Amino acid sequence: MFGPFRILLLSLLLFGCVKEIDYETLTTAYSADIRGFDPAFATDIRTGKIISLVYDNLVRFDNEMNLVPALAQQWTVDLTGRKYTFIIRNNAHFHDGSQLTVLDIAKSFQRVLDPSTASPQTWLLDRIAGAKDFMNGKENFLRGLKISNDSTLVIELDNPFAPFIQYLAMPATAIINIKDSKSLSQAPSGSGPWKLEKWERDGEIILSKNENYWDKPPKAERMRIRILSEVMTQSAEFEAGSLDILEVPQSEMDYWNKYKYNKLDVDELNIWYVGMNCSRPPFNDVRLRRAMNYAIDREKIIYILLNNAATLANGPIPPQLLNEISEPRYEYNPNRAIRLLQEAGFDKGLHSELFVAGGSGMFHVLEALQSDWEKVGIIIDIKRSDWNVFKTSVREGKPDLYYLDWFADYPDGENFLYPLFHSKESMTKRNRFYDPEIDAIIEKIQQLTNQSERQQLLETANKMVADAAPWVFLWHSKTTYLTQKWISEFQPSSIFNANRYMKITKHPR
Amino acid sequence: MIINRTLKDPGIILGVSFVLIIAVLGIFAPWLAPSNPNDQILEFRHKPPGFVGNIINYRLAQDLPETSMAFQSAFVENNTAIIIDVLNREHRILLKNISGENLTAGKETVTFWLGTDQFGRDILSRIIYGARISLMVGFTASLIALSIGVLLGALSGINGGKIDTIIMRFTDVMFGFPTLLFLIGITAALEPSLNVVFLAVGLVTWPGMARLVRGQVLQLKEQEYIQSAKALGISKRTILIRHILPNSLAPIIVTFTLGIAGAIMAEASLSFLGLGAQPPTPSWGAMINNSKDFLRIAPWSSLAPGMAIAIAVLGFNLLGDSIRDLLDPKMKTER
Repeated sequence: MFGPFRILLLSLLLFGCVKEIDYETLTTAYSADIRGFDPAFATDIRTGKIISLVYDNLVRFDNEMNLVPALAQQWTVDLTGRKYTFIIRNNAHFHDGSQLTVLDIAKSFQRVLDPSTASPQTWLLDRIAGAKDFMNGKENFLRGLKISNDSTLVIELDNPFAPFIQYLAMPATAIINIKDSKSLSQAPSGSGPWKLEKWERDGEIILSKNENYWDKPPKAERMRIRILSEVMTQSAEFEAGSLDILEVPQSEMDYWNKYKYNKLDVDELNIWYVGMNCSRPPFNDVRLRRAMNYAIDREKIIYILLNNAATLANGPIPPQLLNEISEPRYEYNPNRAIRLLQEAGFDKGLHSELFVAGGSGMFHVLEALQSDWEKVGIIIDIKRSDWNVFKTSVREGKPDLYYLDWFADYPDGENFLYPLFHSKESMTKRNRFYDPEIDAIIEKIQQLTNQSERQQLLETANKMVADAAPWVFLWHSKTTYLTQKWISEFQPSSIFNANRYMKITKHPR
Repeated sequence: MIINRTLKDPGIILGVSFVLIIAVLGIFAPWLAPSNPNDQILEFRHKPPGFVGNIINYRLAQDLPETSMAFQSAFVENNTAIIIDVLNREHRILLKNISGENLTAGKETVTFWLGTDQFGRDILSRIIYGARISLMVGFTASLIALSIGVLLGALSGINGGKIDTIIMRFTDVMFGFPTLLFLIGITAALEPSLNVVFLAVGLVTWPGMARLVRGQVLQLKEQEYIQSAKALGISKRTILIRHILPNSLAPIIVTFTLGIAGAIMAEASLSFLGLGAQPPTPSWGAMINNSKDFLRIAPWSSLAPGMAIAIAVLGFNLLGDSIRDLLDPKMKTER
């Protein structure tokens, strides 16, 4: 809150002493603390990242977004698309030394669905056959989970559902040591490449490498994740050499561009948007919604305000997840916006409110959008509130307009369609968008296993959603990382939990 | 004699001139500001003080607001101006929508004396318009505090007894809260906006005034001329309004003036925390909040509003102090 002052103090402290660099410990920073180490409650990105270091999943994503074996050495899906068979490796051990068995896996999944756990992440597993009966207490075990022998697990779903295998790479489906399940939040009990050494709340998290990891253990000895909420503090710490990796704050891009650090740009799987409430006036008029899109000069905003650290969004799905390059949509055309406004009967202009969460990233950019909209006669008041109030009002459908972002759970275009535009989700949690045709196509995408057909449908859906314009599509942002000269093999990934810091090293240069 | 003493005191000269500067800026903002404070020219992002740039003033259609943009080159074709922007894109604007109705007249060379912020807005113009907000908050909030404070203070002082106890204990309770924390609480509970800040600052800062007025009333009540008025059978109300309040005007004015400085500071703090003026309103506190992340890239964008707040607060404080010195008869002999 009192950022500049803190920085001043900090720089005084830093310039006062020259520190020895600890080459054993890798130091990074998070902007806020994690919720805990219980996978069943990992709903935010930071917690998800740390879960992926301490625990293992059946499968996981590599840096190129491919699904690769983890605890499951291999897996097969039968022709119906409902039955998954996993061969589990027998050389995986929990941090306490006990062996990880098929039973642990089954119990981990069952625990997420168990009503007494009260996990918010049941949606990942509730398509397993019998999940409904298990969750409302009719059955004591999950019918769809079958342990055929010491190393084989069979999962049966109610219906074919293509994204399911990717769900198994998510934080909430991580495998836990079930006998420690009561204290997981403070004391993780997993089999991952890193072990928790110390967690000081709002201070730091220290992890050390798991020597007995079933795969090659991490090359670095220890990892220290500091909680530094002010972006300027992170920058100053990096400059002083006390952080090894810096996620460059958007506001400081100009500053860091002058320096020669190792720089890595990562196209993340995300989209920034302004949601428009589609089920009541004035934004139930598609012409108005398109006018909102045409009126803003996204290209200039990206070029100047975002230092080119973003790509234009031509629809909801990021380009990495589509085969074809999607055609440019909603290029800056204020005159077209004015014509559309006239057609829709808003020639006298329009006054509306845009809701935003106080500390949300890229908040600054909103004023540029506000100014562009004003040029065509759309007056927007920006209403700021804290995150919880904001989230609740969006869920209740209060705002006409709201500014938000969406980060992928798993690298699949479906993740940018169903949770955002299917009426089941949108009508209850988001901007009240309902299009039966789009619903049908999304449902088909979820069932299809044929990749090329599925990819084509994704592209069609992407275009249809862009046409219907339930959002003002803004951009897909990049994250820029800087690393110190003594760091090598840092491999950030487009998907939040893919980088497990296995190969990264810290050596004097 | 008063004028004589005034001229000898550097504090009052400084105070009066600071307040005058802010007042003139605030009152005549539309005539003094070189450009529209909300006009964004993104190409001019973070330009240092003294930057000179060329822009074209236009509107997209007759009844839409005027706006400006920077350009690489511009020429006329038939009745249309073709403007090439920084990304080499063409913008076609009808000549009749260009301000001045021809391209040459629509072009303007602007000097940004205090530089620009992250949206390429003119900081000087924003400072000038910001003076308006600060003055308005200062006066409105202080007036609210004045009304409540004088009313409760006078009621308490003149009546004494139970009424006095009730009012003063309530005042103590209000005094007990840390002001800024209380303000943050109120504005966070309501929807953040400038009007809420006006009201909140007024509603939170009156206890000082109430105590002061009560003290004055208690003291004056025992004076002989009040006693004689009472003996003549004049009502409490008339005594209060005709005799006591006019005689305690001096300390009230001083407190009022100092209250303005406090209110300006409070507004700036709240806007800095995002609880006051909402974008794009050019409040000084909000300006600092918006540019604090760019402290290392464009220090001028937070320094300028910082200076403005300092000058305004210092000005009203010095003015208040000096008025006290001038009006307080006891100070005369000491000097």
